[in-house]
Amino acid sequence: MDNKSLTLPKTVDFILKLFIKNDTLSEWTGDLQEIFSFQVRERGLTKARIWYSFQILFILLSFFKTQSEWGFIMFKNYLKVALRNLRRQKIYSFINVVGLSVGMTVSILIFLLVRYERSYDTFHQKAATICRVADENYSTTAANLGQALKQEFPEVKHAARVVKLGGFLHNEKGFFNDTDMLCVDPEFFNMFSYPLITGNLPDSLDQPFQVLITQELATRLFGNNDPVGQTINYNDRFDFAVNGVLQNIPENTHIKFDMLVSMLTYKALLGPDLEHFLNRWGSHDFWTYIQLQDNIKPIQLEEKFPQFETQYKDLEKMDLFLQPVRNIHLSGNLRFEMETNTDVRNLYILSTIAFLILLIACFNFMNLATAQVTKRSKEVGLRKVVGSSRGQLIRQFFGESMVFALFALGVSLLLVKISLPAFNSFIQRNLEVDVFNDPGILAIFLGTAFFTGFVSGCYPALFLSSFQPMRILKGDKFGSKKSLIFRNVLVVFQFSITIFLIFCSLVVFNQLRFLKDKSFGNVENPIVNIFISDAQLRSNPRPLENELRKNALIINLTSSFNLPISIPTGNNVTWEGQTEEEKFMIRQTNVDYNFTDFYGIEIVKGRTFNKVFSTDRDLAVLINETAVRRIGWEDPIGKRINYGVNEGMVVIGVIKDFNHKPLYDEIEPLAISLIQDSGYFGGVNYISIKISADHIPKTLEFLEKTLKKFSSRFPLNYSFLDELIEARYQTERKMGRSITYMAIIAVFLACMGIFGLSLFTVEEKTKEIGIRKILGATASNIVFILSKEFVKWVVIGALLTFPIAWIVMNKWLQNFAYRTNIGFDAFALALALSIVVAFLAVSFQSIRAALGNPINAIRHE
Amino acid sequence: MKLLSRAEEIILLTILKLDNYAYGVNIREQIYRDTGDKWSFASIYKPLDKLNRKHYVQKIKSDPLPERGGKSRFYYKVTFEGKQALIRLYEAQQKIWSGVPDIKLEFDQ
Repeated sequence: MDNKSLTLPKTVDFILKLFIKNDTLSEWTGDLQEIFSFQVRERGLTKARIWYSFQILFILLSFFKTQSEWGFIMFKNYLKVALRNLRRQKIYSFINVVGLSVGMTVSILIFLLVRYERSYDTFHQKAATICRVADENYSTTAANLGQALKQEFPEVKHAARVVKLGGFLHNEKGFFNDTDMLCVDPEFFNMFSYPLITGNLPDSLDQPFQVLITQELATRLFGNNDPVGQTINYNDRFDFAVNGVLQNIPENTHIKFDMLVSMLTYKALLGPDLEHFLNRWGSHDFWTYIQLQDNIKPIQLEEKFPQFETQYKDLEKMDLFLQPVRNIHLSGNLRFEMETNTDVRNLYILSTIAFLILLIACFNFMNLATAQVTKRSKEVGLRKVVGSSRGQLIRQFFGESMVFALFALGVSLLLVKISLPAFNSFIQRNLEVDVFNDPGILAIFLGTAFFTGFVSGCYPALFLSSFQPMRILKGDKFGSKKSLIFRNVLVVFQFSITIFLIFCSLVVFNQLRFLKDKSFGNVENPIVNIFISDAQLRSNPRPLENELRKNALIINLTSSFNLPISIPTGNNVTWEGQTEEEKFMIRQTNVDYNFTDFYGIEIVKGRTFNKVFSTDRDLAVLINETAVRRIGWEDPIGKRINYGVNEGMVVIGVIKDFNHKPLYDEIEPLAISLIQDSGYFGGVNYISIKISADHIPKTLEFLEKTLKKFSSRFPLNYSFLDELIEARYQTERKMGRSITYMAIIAVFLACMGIFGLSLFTVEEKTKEIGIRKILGATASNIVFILSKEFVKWVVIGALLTFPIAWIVMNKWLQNFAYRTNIGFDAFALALALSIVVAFLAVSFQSIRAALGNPINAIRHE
Repeated sequence: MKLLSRAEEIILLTILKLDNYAYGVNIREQIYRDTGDKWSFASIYKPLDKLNRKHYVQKIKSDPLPERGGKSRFYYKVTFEGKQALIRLYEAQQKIWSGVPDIKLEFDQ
């Protein structure tokens, strides 16, 4: 029999090592293992393993329980009583356990999420010393900054730039337009930990057009064949040679890629005209990462930045600061982030809400426990008479709540496992819950359980243990004033939290609806955008356009380099008489003649592009109102501006501001000129088509067939503009939905609480109800009387929450440049909802009571 | 001076019997052979720890052994104070048993 499979699970090992010296632990495990094979022969493998675990357990107990031998005996009694109570009060116990486990499950899921988000980028060996250099509110900096910093400061050990490469890949296997490709400087590999499966790092990217791909991408592109040495076509223009395969990158990183390309390749792609992009100041094109020498703190380097910035102030206005790489994912979004980050503050908010939900569950427990006070009071009195100390009673009741908590923990373990896939797809992450091999997760589970057990047990333990035996034996009632008030306060608190959450979700949804309304297109004539992949089509789309126009289903058509909702490129703009301070970045894009008509963009001054004027082609530019304001011209028509490679462009018109960026941001200055034939910004990327809302499938079919005629190699790649717009507000939508889910759970828990309480109140008041009925009260009178109490408390709770909710939501709305007002209707709705729900929770019990026979009520003397 | 407990006495005597090659496993086996009781490891390690703290036994780490996969065992040896404690107990035992009316007759019946 082998005993090599007898290693303890990692979590157990970890815990044991906390308390026991390594030597002693190995003495015990060693001795036990020596006779393990004998035990296996005696009992069989499984029983032997159980024997092994129990031996370790007993050894531990014998060392740590020397003083509590009596404690162990009493513990058995408490356990017996607790289980007895559980069985007797099945309904209460069920409500308690369900409530606690729902609360715990929610909290645990959220804690797991928070832990995961904080683990981003921790896998790099040198993570502690790597920082990204950010400039004011840009996450990107000028091309020359990295090396300039390295030369100037000995504290900087390495510097590397990263830039995203757009485009698509293509080989015999197919057509891939969703790969993430990054161009990096060679020092990138000194800084970040990306191990290679095949290939050698220093040599792998020393020629242009050589690439490294991840294992995942290799399988997609080449199946089971060896990718090294194979080629893949990029953008229908160049061939990349695969020189190495990288290990798949973990998901908890903000730098996500399928392929790494060298800067040499980027240089070659830019071509001789635009090569200088790699060597200039005055733009924000690259992400720059630096690695500091060990023992240098980022703040030490940051202090030296102002001096450094003045040296370059003519070339570049900078306001630099460092972002440690492990914090980037949590620090919110600057301009041009690599991927959407979360914000630590969101995590704090989520954790707080999780905590509040847990509190609601605990309050339920407290309420129900104290509601059973009369039933337990005799037991308490008797124990005290027989000699129990208050401390022992406290321990007993804490023990009971712990039992509940641990029971609920078991249930919530199940619930977490069940809900994990849905949760993962909602938060778009891949969390794993491996309790045995991840001590952190075990800590979260146990910690939540102990916290719950402790908080829930507090009030009953302290309250019940304070009873005086004389009063109990005399038969005094224990629905004393103080306990009643406390219980009602708890209910108020629970419903306040619930109302708060409902209110917040209403506000969030209002804001989202508002955002949607302020964008393009309409329902009757949706806009379809086709992305042009074929290089030939890109430089000559006219034949395709003409063919498309022929069809009656096509209402209108235009083309452009970017879609109006996403114009990422910008350059510094200069004009005559402009001073240094006035310089700013202007967004730019190229469009077709009828672009402004197509998208309904208003021309405020001057005119739009017109084929009649031949100079429009190369020199005309439209700028938006914001741009005019920034420059400060009274009448911009006829004036000239320069930006990027466009020199001496003449302003022919001013367009009304439109939201080319999500509505978080103010509108930025924009310059639009006509489509160029060649160059980096040449050609057409998108053809936008207005179609009729009827016959959409037919129209799409037609589009596909027509496109195939002109470009058989690439499939139709289209999207609906309104869908793209909606997708921009993903985070807000998710947040809205999660708050709604939390609100639902809070309502559920609060309801359970009220349900349980009403059970008790009705029992208490059986006599009263009986007498009222005899005196002539109708069923509805009774229901009303019983519910009135609770509804009153709910309304009070609502009034208390209102100011807090108002402040919090206002703060959140500050994030948006365009926001709705928080109306009273949202609050009224939240309040109404809560009242209805509370009423329903109480009504079940009250109706039962109201319909019962009054004689039964009075009979029990 | 408190006397040794029963468990402590049995363990100390067993260690002496095993002549300096006493460790958890063979102490347990020897006790089984002598008393017919299967003691759990807990009831051996705990008294051993107490004896160790009272300096009645000495804990010695052996060299790494192949049958432990390269780990070492801890052997126990009775110290001089330990032997003294045993003798004290033995003498007390003698005194306690002496003068007791002969109980052999009752057994025969």
